[in-house]
Amino acid sequence: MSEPVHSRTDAIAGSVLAVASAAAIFWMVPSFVDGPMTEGQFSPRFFPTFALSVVLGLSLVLAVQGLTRLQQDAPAAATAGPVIQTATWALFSALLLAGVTHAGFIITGIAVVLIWGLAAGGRNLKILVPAGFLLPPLVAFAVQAAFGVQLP
Amino acid sequence: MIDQLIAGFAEALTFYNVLFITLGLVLGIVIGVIPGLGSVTAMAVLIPVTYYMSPVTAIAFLVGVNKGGTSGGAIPAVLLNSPGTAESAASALDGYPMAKRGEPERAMKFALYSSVTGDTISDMLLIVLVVPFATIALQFGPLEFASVLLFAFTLLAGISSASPVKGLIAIFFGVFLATIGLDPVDSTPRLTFDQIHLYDGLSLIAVAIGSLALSSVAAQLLDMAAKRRGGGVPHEALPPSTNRHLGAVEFFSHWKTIIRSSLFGSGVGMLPGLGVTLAAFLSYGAARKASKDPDSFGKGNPEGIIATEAANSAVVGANLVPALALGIPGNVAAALLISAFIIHGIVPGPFMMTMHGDVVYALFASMLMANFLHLIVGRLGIPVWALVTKVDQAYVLPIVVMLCVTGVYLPSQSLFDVGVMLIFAVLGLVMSRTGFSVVGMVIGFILGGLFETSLRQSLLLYKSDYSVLLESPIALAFLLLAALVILRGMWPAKRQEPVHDAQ
Repeated sequence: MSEPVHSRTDAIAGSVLAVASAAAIFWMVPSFVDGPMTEGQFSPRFFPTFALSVVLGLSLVLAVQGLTRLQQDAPAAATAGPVIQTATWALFSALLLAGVTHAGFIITGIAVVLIWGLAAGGRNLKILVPAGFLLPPLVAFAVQAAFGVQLP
Repeated sequence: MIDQLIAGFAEALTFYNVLFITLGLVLGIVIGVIPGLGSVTAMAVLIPVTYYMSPVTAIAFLVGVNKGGTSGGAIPAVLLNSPGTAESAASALDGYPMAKRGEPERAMKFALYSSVTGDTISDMLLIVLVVPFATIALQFGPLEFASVLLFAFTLLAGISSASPVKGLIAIFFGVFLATIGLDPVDSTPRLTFDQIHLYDGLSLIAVAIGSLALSSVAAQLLDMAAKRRGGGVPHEALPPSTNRHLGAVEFFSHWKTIIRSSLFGSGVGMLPGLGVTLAAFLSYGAARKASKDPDSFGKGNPEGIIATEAANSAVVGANLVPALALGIPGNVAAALLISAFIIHGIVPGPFMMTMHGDVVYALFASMLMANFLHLIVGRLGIPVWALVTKVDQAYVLPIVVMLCVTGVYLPSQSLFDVGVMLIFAVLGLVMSRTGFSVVGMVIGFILGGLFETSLRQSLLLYKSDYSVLLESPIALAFLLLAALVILRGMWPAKRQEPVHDAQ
């Protein structure tokens, strides 16, 4: 990535992290962590708040660094590629979890190997098809035989 | 120490231990040969498999995977000019020219023998140094531990990351994630959102596999899909092998380079955050400087291979020195080994030698045995590893995805943990695309509990009386070092400002 794109990323990341950590400090931790229960001991909220405070402080530094560098350099065009890729993987992850939960490991495994094998450019079907149909059941069988654990 | 080591050999020299060490070496080499995977991915995916092994066999297996994975990266470096792992990149500089002039097997033998020798030297240093380190660490109280951890965090962030600020953010985010679960003193649920699965905190296996292994696989699959081509490495055919022989006399004639590189790797391995790749390149540079014929480097000088492989393998043993003595990992591989120790009920740190000394010495014995087995397995398998380099990643990586699911599901049979792994894979992908250190986050997560305990105890014991720092030279020294590292990280930015203002 070129320097101006780094600067934009740093400015955005720093701002997002600062807002998120502030929200966590002032809302999430008080809502989901009880106050002190033992006399003379630190509150259970102390350390999460401490860690988040460090993240908040550093995020503000990062945001300022990014904005400062952005002002000094001409901004270059950012691409949507990484965002689309991340969204694609997030969607795939949701489908993978749903598949393993409802359809089972073997069927989901076959689908994953075939679909991603083709998407990643694998063109030799003589390797891909046997690998797709044989390896997930083989893994499931091996796990059952070796560890006595049945995959979903 | 000798008696304990002999007892360690007696415990380690069992059929299953030798079998699993060999299996670990083979898996490590095979995975190290495949570009983009590496020993870290292998270890992360295979840790759950060790649940069903004894602690000694489990750790020995993972050490075998680490050793094999580190040296396996040299094979595609030599044969294809495409290193399997980053730390073997320097091996390609001289290994590939050697292969092109008809000496691929000699080059791979140089790499193998250097790996084994570097590994052995660093393992011996580990055995000698860990007890004194642990003895010193026994003097550490909570204040000293908190200071050492803070220094380790700043070193990791300041040296291993392009941006120290981002590195520290990642580490302290990991520290925050470690607070999810029950408070260590009150047992009050913290950030569990009424999910019983979170009462024990986030699963270390799910976090490690998701953020380290699966996110890396995801990045590669997405890049390959974007280019719509397979990940097989195109390469020009090498000429027939004209000289295969490499004798011990010839190899050890390079003893100065071997010892210098092994010590480089051992030194780097003992310091958190510096990493295997740095050791390899530092050693390569030093070997070239010390050489009578520096211009021959990069053109097939075997000392280039020796320097790289001895150094990167020497890191493996040395990074266990702070890991075993202090419980602080030198790099992510050591962090994963610490996780494996914890999973098997052994907490690394200064008390490990006294409470689990038999396990530790059995581990040392296993590591020395693993070097010997590495030599045999590596040497016999040279023709086989060459075939593995031809496998297209497009067929391998989707299978690794399902192996990650299997690995996370295996220990607790929990789909919740699979979900956590998938979330951390997405998070790891976002972090690596935006320049945040995933390794830092994982190490912060692993050490977060220890840091919290040390910090809370320090603050309680000394009731925020900062003058106590003056009474603890160890704590003061590490805090000053941490401050120095932070300042050093900020210094290049400060130097640029006057030039810019002048302009």
